[in-house]
Amino acid sequence: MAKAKATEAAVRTAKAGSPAPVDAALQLVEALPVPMFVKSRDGRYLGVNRAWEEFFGVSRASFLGKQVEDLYPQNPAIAEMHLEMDGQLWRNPGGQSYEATVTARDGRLRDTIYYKATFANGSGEVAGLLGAIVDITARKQAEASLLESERRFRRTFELAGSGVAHIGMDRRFIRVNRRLCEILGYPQAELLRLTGRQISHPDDLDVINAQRPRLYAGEVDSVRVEKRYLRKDGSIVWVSFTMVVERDAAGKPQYEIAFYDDITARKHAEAALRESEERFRSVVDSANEGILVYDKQLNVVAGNLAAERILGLPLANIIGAAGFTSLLPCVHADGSPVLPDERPTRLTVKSGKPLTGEIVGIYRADGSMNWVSVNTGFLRRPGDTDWYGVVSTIGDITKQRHAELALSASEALYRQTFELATAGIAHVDLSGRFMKVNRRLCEILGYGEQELIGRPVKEISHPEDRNLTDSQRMRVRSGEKQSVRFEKRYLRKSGAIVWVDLSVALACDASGVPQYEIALFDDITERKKAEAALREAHEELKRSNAELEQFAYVASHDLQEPLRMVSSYTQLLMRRYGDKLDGDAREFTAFIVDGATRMKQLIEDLLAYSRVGTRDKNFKPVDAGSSLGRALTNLRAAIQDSGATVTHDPLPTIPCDEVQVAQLFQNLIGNALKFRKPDAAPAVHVGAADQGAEWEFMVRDNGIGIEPQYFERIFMVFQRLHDKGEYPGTGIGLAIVKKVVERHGGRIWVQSQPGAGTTFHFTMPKERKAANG
Amino acid sequence: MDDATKGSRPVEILLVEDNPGDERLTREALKEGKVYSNMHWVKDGVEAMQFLRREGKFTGAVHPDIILLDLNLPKKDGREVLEEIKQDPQLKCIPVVVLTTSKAEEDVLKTYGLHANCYVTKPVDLDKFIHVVKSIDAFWLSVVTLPSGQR
Repeated sequence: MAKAKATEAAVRTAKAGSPAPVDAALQLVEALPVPMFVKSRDGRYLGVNRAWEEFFGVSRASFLGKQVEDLYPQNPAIAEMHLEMDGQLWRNPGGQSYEATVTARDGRLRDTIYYKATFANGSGEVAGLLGAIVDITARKQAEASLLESERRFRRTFELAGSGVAHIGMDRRFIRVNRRLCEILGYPQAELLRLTGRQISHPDDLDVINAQRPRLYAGEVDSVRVEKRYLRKDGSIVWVSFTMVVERDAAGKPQYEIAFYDDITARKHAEAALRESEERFRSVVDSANEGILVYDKQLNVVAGNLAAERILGLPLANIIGAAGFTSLLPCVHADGSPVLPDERPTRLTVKSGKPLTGEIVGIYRADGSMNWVSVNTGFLRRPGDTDWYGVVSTIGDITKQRHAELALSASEALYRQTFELATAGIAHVDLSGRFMKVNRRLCEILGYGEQELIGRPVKEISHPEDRNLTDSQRMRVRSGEKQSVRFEKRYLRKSGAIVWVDLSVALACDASGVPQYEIALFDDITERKKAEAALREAHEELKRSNAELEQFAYVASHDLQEPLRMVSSYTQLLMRRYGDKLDGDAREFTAFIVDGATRMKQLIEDLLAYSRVGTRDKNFKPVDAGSSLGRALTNLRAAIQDSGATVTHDPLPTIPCDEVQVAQLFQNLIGNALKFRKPDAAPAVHVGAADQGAEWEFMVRDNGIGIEPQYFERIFMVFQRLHDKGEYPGTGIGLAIVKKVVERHGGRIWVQSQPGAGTTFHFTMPKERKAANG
Repeated sequence: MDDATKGSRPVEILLVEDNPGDERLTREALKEGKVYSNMHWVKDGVEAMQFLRREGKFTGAVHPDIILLDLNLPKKDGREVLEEIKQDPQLKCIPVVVLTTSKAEEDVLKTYGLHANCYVTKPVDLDKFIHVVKSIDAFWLSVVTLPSGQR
């Protein structure tokens, strides 16, 4: 209390010197927002304004008359600093300002500027000072934060993980950070002399320029591109480039801020990944097997070309589906339909085990059916135990399946054939033992199946045919022949001989190694018997023919002798004793001689006929024209006598007995001359026509013709149609002709009408062939 | 026969023939044909060769000027006889006239490559036979008139 009274007294004293000006000044500044105060010369506070009260949180009533030490009871240093400054002012009256940090209301520290000025009393002495406090705390703080921001920016700029640059409107780097220097491989100083374009990869020169217009037009806030730069050492660096443009308050672009991130490693990784993926994809796509990848829900997410091909569906249709079995009708190997729960993927998931070789038949959209073998597997990420998808491979086994089916069908067929064959069939091992025999073979050989199997084939071969069998089998075993076929004998169980037409071939495996022999047995015993009988008959016929010819020859020869005796001695009788005989006797003897002469002619003709068959059958190519010529020479007299004309076509060359063919023409033409019409000169034409394997000759005349009922008879020996007085002859000519033709393997026939001429046709083979006679 | 030949010796003829009828007929024909001849007759091929080689009972046989050979003979047939004659240097110069019954026999001989000097088919007609025998005479004349060095 005492102290309070003392302060009040001091204020009064202080004011006493100059009460009016101080109060006036205080009233003036009362309303100013700036804290103001008046202190006396002895340092006592004479007055403060409301702003000061606010600032310090001190009421003027309580504080008037107090000193500065009282304002900062906690901070004597602040008070001392103010006293010091006051002291300077007292010593040098006038104005003063200084910055001070003071404790304000609630103990808050405020940055301030103190402005102080002295005032004088009426006598001109310094009476006190007036002070104003400008709170610059906010400004100070702003300054500090700016500094901090600057510092932070600089640190950020310098220490940024990204390369950063400010780029001027001339595209030159204004400012670059260390990281950018690292990325681009240039020292900072060098980089600052360059433009981005100068160090861009040639292929990426205008990547950024292409983006700038949009950025500058304000269409976008920033642009981001990936491009390559060439480092100073020439290496390529991939950069993710982000750029914004900095504008002034008026919106005018000032510079560009660019961020560079080295993405080379990423790019390489991407490329490697892409390559790997492409490689994988090409492997997958080039795979022969269809591959489908399913997600966790077992819907297809990916597939390859082979899958398309095998399923006959575009991949686009398969993707998203629950596998091909949901798209196409499918069956199991046994033909039963594949139910949804039996889909390979579902089976896999249900069992938790991959499937292998699941056979599925697919009815494709085009109507064809493909058989596939499906394998499945789980897809797991490395380290994961749970699966995230299923992969299935689909192998097209249609061909194998068809081949298998065909094989089994063929095997069944083969088994059936083997058993039901009318031929005996055996498989014989390489040591020559029966491995397998069919029923028919058992019948042929007269053994039971079990008696044959394991038995050497040789044992039941006819002893005389064993060498033949060995040599024939060798030809197959040595590869000389694919198969051999020959006839041989076996001994039936009963000991009877069975003739067999045997075919042997070698069965080899795929690499050509012989496995066993396949032998086919045809029982030809009956045929053999028939052949033997036929051969015997043929031999018998030949022998009897030869005998007959010999007989005819000998007979005709030996017949001549007695005949000659008869005729010769009759003639001798006439010669010696004719004048002693009467007319009758002479006439009788004449008949004897005439009979003998005719008989001789008959015998000669018969001999000629039999000789047709006894001549050597040494046929040589002969010009039929020259044979005809020879015949015409022999007939010259007859032709001249009858006034005949004989014409002919060009005639071929044929293999024949020239003498006989000449005889043939001679007889035929001779006949034509002989059997001419009494009122017309004979006209004979000889023609020839190519009939493929043989030539057909014809001898046509304009004679008296033959009645059809005699067409056969005229070719028989000694058959005559006319009496001797009319047309002389023995009737052997056409028989000889027929025999000659048949001996050459040809045929002869006649076409004729009585009174309309006759045409004899006969054929001659172009190639020599055997014929009887 | 004219005097020129009459002055010389008769033709020595060897007839190889088994048929007595033919033998007689030949003899008669030679007579009818007035051929100056001396005919020797053997009945088979064996005798014929003995005669020609003067063996056995034919030791003193003449060397015939001409042989008339029938083909159908006992023991050794005419074909063999002809073959032996033609292979014998002493005999091959003797003319051989083969008497055949038919043209066929001639063909057979030719087939075997045996060539007689002449083939005569024994005719049924006596006049023809006499003519043949006469031609033997003519043939002989032509032979004997040749100088011996050219024989």
